[in-house]
Amino acid sequence: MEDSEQSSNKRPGDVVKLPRKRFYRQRAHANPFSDHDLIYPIKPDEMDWSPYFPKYFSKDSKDNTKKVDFIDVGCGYGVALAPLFPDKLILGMEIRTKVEDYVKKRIDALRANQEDLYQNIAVIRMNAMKFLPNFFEPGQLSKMFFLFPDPHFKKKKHKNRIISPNLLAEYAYLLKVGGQLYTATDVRELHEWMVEKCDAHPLFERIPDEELKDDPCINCILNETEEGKKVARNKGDKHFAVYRRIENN
Amino acid sequence: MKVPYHIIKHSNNCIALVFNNKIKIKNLSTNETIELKQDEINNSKVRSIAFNNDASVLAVASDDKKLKFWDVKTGVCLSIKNTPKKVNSIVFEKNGKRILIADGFGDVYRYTVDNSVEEGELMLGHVSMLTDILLSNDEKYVLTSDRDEKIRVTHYPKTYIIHNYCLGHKEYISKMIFISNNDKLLLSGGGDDYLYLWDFINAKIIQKIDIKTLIEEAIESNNLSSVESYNVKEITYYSKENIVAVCFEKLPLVFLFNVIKDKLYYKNTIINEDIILDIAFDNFGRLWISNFVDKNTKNIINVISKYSPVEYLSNEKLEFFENTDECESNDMSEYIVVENLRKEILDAKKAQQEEENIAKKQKTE
Repeated sequence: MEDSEQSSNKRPGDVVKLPRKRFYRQRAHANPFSDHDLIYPIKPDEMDWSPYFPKYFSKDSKDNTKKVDFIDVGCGYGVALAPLFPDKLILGMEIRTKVEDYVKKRIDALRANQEDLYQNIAVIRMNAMKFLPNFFEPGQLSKMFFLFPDPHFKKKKHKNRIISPNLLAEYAYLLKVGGQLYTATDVRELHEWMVEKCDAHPLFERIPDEELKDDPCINCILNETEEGKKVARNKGDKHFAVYRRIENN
Repeated sequence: MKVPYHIIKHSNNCIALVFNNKIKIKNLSTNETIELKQDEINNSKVRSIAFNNDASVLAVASDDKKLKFWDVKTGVCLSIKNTPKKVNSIVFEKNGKRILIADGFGDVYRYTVDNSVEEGELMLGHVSMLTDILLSNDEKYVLTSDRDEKIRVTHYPKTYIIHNYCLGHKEYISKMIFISNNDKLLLSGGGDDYLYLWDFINAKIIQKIDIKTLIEEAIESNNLSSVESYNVKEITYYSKENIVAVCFEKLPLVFLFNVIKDKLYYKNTIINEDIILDIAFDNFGRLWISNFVDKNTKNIINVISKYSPVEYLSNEKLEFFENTDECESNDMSEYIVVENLRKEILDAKKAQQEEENIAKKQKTE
């Protein structure tokens, strides 16, 4: 498999080539219920973030005050959110090796080309359905993105969907009160399913579409992310729904 | 014909003993034993049982995904329900009207203890096989343990609110119990070298109890056969005297601990004559040990009393089930449950299977 050019060979004036996506294709499904040889910490305070956000975390420093703010679950191929929120740390999480590899190389290349941008975004190979509590403390996150997730069309596979009643309890646990959960898909049935499940969960309330007109994330999701671009090319409908995490009562 | 009881459970003066699909219940005050009138045609192996508070009802989950409620006094089946997946653990609500089951897929369902036909209400789920489930004394929390090193403490009955995760285990968790005189203490064990004692409300580890060293010392001083890994099979607690007993898969050992002021202190080791399948304290403080049975086994059950080193219970009433298979060729691998939770073992088995498949393909080509 051909690789992108190594960023270490950069000479002044060179631009590091971005990795070419067609060499990083992988089938869309990976079973989150199996073991995947993943590495994860026992608990959040044991995680060393320095390989992912070297500008913000040093390996030995005990007073790392920054924490991951947003997560992009099953990040597929997008890193477009980073420049919109320069002071927030954004983590993409992806279970498929080749996809994670592609995104990582893309981030490395973007960082090499534009010194200070894209230091706030990183990707990690991870099973977000099993191990979120290992990485993040309760109420740590302010935004969670579930963009164009695997639809798992067959009824018996609905339990594998990333938005489910069981998992919404975990997402509510990790999101701070007032934090937002974003969903986007071009599959109408999946959109209706996600809306149904989120509506039914007592800790989430839907943010009406009118209130989202000025939300920079939405424009980014719809127009700039890889999946969004692909869907636009195929002239599909993009459905989105955003929820706010509300207080326990 | 001797058969091993692979599950033993006690509640309120009743001891339930299980071999395969057959269940006997011995009443310790009347000394009577009854056998539950199981259907001979559907002889699906029992996976998990639980008594209600006053031991008037026994809930039984089997390999065929059937959930049965039995009247303990009469031995009659009160109700049969279906579960979506195989059940690993059951807990009754205090008033005995409903139960929670934890299954191998990772879900917890609630069922009513009655005759109704119902699908079970989905209460919560991990994305990981569940191994044990508990309800706190005040029933404000439900605790679930899984194969991916997690103990989750969730509000009850509002199970959409997670209270916390008790994180610290490095291997699967197989068993959890409350040290019930102190409401806040939870003891858990599984594939780790340690048992963990938790203040579960605050997700804090109070103590780590080194069982690896204890096992290694016991194996060496008693010339026992060593095992590849240490896997906690059962933890049982005698509340009147604050004693905890722990046993392990494929080992003939029980460790006893005293609980004094929120900590566990090693008390002594019981070296059993056979590999142990399960243990349970009765309300007299006697420890019932169920032995793996082969042609050398003398007793199916050993009962350890505080007053004598070992007390052998007269086995006549417990020995025979009708129409059981020959037990002389008993295969230990049938009783290995917990060890298979270990991820390396599962991966090793998968790798072996793949190699066999490749070998098959090569043969036919």
